[in-house]
Amino acid sequence: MNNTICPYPGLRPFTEEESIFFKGRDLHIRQIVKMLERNKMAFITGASGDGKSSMVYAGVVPYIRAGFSKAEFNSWIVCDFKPQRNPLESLVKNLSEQLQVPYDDTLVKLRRGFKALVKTYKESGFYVKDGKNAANRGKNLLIIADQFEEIFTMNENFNNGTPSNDAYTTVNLLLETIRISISEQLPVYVIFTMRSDYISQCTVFKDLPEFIAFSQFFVPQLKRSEILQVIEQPAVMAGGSVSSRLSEVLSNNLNSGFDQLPVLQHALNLLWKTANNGSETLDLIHLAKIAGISKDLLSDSERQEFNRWFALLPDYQKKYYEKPDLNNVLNAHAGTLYESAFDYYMQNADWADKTITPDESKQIIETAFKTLTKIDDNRLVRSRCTLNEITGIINKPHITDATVCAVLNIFRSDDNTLLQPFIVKEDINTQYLSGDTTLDVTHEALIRNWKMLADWDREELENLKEYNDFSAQMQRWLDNGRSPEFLLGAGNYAIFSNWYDRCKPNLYWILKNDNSQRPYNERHHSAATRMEKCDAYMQESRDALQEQEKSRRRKIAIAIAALLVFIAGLSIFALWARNEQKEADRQRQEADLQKDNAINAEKEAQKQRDSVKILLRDTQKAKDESDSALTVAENARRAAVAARRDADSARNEAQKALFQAQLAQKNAEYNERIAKAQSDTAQRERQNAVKANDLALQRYYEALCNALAMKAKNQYEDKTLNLRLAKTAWEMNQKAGGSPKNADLYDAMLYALEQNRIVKPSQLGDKIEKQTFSIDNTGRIIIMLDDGTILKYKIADNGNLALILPFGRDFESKVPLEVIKFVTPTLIAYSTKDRKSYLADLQTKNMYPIAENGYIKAASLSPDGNLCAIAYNTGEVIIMPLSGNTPVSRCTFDGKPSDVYFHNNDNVYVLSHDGSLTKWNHKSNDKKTILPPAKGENAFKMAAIPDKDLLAICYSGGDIQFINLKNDTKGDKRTVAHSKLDNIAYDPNTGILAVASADKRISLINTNDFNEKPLVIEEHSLDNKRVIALAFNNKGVLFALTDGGVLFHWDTNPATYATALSTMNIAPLSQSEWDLIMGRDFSEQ
Amino acid sequence: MVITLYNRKFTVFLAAASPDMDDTREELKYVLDNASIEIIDGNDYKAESVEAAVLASDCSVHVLGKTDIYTPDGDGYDTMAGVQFRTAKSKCNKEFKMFVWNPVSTINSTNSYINSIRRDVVENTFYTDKPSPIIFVEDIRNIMNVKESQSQQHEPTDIFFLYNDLDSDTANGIYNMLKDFQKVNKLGISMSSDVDYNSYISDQLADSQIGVVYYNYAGDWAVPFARQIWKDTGGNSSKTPLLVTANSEHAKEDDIKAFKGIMECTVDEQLRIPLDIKVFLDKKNQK
Repeated sequence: MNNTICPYPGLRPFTEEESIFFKGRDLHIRQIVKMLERNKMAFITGASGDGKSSMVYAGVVPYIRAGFSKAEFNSWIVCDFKPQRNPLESLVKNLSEQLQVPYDDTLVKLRRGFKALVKTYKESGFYVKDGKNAANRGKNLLIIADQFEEIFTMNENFNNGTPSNDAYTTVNLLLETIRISISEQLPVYVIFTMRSDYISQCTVFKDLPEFIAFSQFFVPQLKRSEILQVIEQPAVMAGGSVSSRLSEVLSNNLNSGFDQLPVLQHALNLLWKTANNGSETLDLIHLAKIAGISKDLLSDSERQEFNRWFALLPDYQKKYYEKPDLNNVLNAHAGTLYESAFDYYMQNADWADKTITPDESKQIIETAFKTLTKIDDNRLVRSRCTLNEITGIINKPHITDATVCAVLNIFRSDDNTLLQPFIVKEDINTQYLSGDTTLDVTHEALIRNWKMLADWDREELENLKEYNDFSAQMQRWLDNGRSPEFLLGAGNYAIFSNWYDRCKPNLYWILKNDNSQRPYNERHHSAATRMEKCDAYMQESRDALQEQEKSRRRKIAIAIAALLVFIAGLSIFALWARNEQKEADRQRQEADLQKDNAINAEKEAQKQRDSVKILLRDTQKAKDESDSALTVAENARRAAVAARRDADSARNEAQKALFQAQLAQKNAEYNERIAKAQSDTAQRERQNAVKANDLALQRYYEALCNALAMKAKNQYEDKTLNLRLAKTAWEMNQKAGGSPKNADLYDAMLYALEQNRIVKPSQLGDKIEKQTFSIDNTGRIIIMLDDGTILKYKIADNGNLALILPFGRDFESKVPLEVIKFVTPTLIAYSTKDRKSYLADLQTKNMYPIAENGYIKAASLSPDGNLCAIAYNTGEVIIMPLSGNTPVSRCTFDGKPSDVYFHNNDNVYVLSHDGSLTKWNHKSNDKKTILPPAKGENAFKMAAIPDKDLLAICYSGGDIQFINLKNDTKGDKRTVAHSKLDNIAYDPNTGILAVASADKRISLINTNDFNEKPLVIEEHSLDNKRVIALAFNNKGVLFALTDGGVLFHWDTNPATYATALSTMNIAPLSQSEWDLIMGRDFSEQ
Repeated sequence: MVITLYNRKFTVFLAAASPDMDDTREELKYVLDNASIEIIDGNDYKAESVEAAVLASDCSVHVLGKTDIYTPDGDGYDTMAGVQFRTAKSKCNKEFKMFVWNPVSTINSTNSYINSIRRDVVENTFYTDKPSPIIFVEDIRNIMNVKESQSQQHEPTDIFFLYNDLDSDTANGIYNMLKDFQKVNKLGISMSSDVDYNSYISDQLADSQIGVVYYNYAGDWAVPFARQIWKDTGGNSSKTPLLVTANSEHAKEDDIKAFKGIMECTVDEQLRIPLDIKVFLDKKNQK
């Protein structure tokens, strides 16, 4: 046997030639053949990837060709077609080749529908009705309409709920052919294969639903035994073998549902090649090498071999081994091809020019796969397209069809077959594709499993949304005669400009997204026109915005210039005013001087006048001189008055100038304030940015802390690794400034300490009969056995429980005990099996029989310590004096009491099983309903929070209801779990309320801050047992007893564990450990 | 469509499990019972009687928990779960299958003892880590109901000679020459016949030394036919080798390309074809 034949086809379907390796469907093939014999048709439906096409081509066709079905003639013509973009043309193309009739003529005939197909067959010469050896001369006709869903997925065939004419005609022809074949007993058969999710859309074709109901075959999911056949038998038939453990791992790890078979076949194909083309037994190490399982599953020697092999891998490939899984194989394979496509292109495509860069090679692949996929009705599906459509979308002059083909060839090679048409190794011509060749993703399993492709498609969807928004705005612009008012505004332009740069839409991109049914040429023309309009819209919007910008800048410049001129003018004016004022001052001084002179002169004149008066009789000459002097003085005085007026005027002008200068100064101060405000805003924003950055860093550390904590909860051979991971997680938490009350971190620290036996649960074994305990104020654990024996334990240094000896039978009972309740750490209420009850005081060793029949449900001591409220399973609640045996009062409760709380010396709160809460004054016998019965819920436990005057009630639905005892009103309600709350305990020292729920979870609630998230210290573990008793000691350590007899304990302050870790001498994580566990994407920043 | 009724009754030995799996094991017991599977409870047997209980069952079921079933108990003795696992493994064969269930796979994903058990899986051992007991029991029922093909008794023969009715004239000539010196069983295939050729051919081939597919005119038929019976009889792992022999009157060398690398084939004159067949038979007997 030639081992170069790989018996697993990978992602593509089995061909007829490969039918020899097609296993696991024998029964189904026989059923389909019987259906064909009986009904002349089979409508095969099923989920994507369940092997419909393979079952037909590698199952049914070879089976009937081999003569294993009953038919009129001894040989067969098989006419198979896929609807593609025109189902009728596809059908006629194949039919004319098989029946050897002219294509054009047949197309014209078949367009007329109904019996045209049957008539073509009858006239072809392959239908031999009579004559010698008719059975040997004639040929049966089998028509296969494969991937019939393309009728609905191709826009050319089906748009807005309406099929195209050719699609309708094709369905009419096929159904009429079946009808005639049945009525005339013709050897003509039709098989359809279609994805079942399109079945409801078949109703658009008249009669098709009836035909489907008449002969449908829904491909069943393979059962375990059949999957094992699919895995093992092809290898055996090809001369190879598969180890049993690999078969089991593959069949176990295979997810049910979509893509089961393609994922498996693809993995098997790679496994075969990895196992040296089947010359080695396919085994777990081969699966590990294709990133299908963790190397942890390998033996030591295999793991060493794997590590050596892995070390040689390029870095980009190593990242695909971080989460090995069967579904990851396809992702890793496609991702590796993407990374190595450039090298392949450089080495293998001598015929293509080598002008592209590695990044361009990746861009070609990304664009090609985006173009080859689309979102249809929220499903990612294939979308065929031609090579030149892809080249067109890439739209770079130096990237030609040949370049694109050469880059994509790695996906088409016969080793990979992720893209069709495939390269046939023997035929070198298949390497080159012409521009009009249609490309197609081999199977949608690739779309669903290649994570990178999913990301691209999401991005493409966003692009399409942006395009639709853009188109809507552009349409308004067009509808309004390209009015400038409808151009893009600055904000929208920025958005769409970004999108334009990112998406780079072009004619082919628009064409790809044109979902109309118009002919290709018409759509091409429309896309070109559309593209021109888009460019024009963007260009005009840009021009308009630039013009607006220019105008705005002009205005600002003018305003600034005007302001400068004004300020300059103002300054000059102020200067001039100051000079003027100086001049006025000088003139005033001069006037004053003249005035003084005038006054002096007047004084002198007066003297002279006096002299004249005295010397009146002196000479006339002297009188004339005197008159003349007087006139001069008068003139001087007038000049002084005029000078003074001028000075006043100058002073007024100066004051005005001063006022203008002050105004200008105020303006300048105002501008300065604005500038300062802007500067402050910028400062604040910078501070905000710094804060945001700090917050981001904090989030990063928190994430790192959580990731490390999760890793610290794994099991490692080196258990100190748990410690180091937990310690590092704590350090990250510190860096993040995070709350120490991080549940994951807490759990991780505790787990790490447990793993290293630094902290461990204490085992009590089966010693606790009645499943209860208490802790006294010295931290001792007190347990009462059912014969009355009291045991006391302490936590020893090694973490184990150590019995404190000696002990005596303080309260020996001849009748075994049925119920034991600790009222206080040293006061016990218990019932014996004969329904008698007692109170026992451990300190005084006194025992008080209670005159009441029944079993105790709960008990509570009054604050003064004199009375005890005891609830019985009979519905009675009694008040007992500690020193007597007769109740001082009693009351019956309908809802069956489940817990009691002696609030003050008068009032007792009684919680009933039905969820109701009643306040009972045992002295006046008044009852007040605080809470009515809960709907659909029960309540079993409550806990008092005396320092806050609160009562916490636990419900079976997982909620805690707080009751404010000051006014008996409902307070906060907290959801702690989603299952029954079994037990509750309160630590008055720390204000912590511990709650255990039936889902094996223990949560801590901080009653000092109800907004704080509860800290879950135990989740779904506790050795799968339930908590039956909870208590705190005086150091904040919480003890929980499970129904397995194990006493667990936790420090409720996480910092205690952190301190324990930080004081331990443990090495920090090495870089290689960090990389191995956290991956290189995480760094410690 | 045909539905499987799962009528086969079988008995399962439900092995003891580690204490942390007590509840899960009990739940599984109910599910097995609801699936009408008879149960022998491993918890009811002491170590010395486990082997007899296993032998009285058709398969065993083992539930894995957090605790390594091979870790000795507190007194240093082997755990009952470990003893029963080991006993069942030693009996595992075509008639006795072993089903291993790891319902808490997430907890156990890094547990090295689970990995070592998975590494040691041999033929007829089935491992499941799906948490649902229903899925696990469905797998058990499916595997235990796989029918081993029961060959009907046919007359043992040297050569099983197959041809299409289209070539019956020349095929009869070859048959007549062969039957004089070898034991030959011939079968002409007619498409219009109601005979279930598929199972008949598979059964008869199992009782023959070699199978021969002959054709002259019926080349279109011979290729898919030969491939189909090669596949149905186990391909390369089949005890009965296949020879495709074509009459050079109408067949050409190119026709046999389809068989290249899969099975032996010859194109020869009609008179030499019996000799080709004899050589192929002798070669097989020499092996």
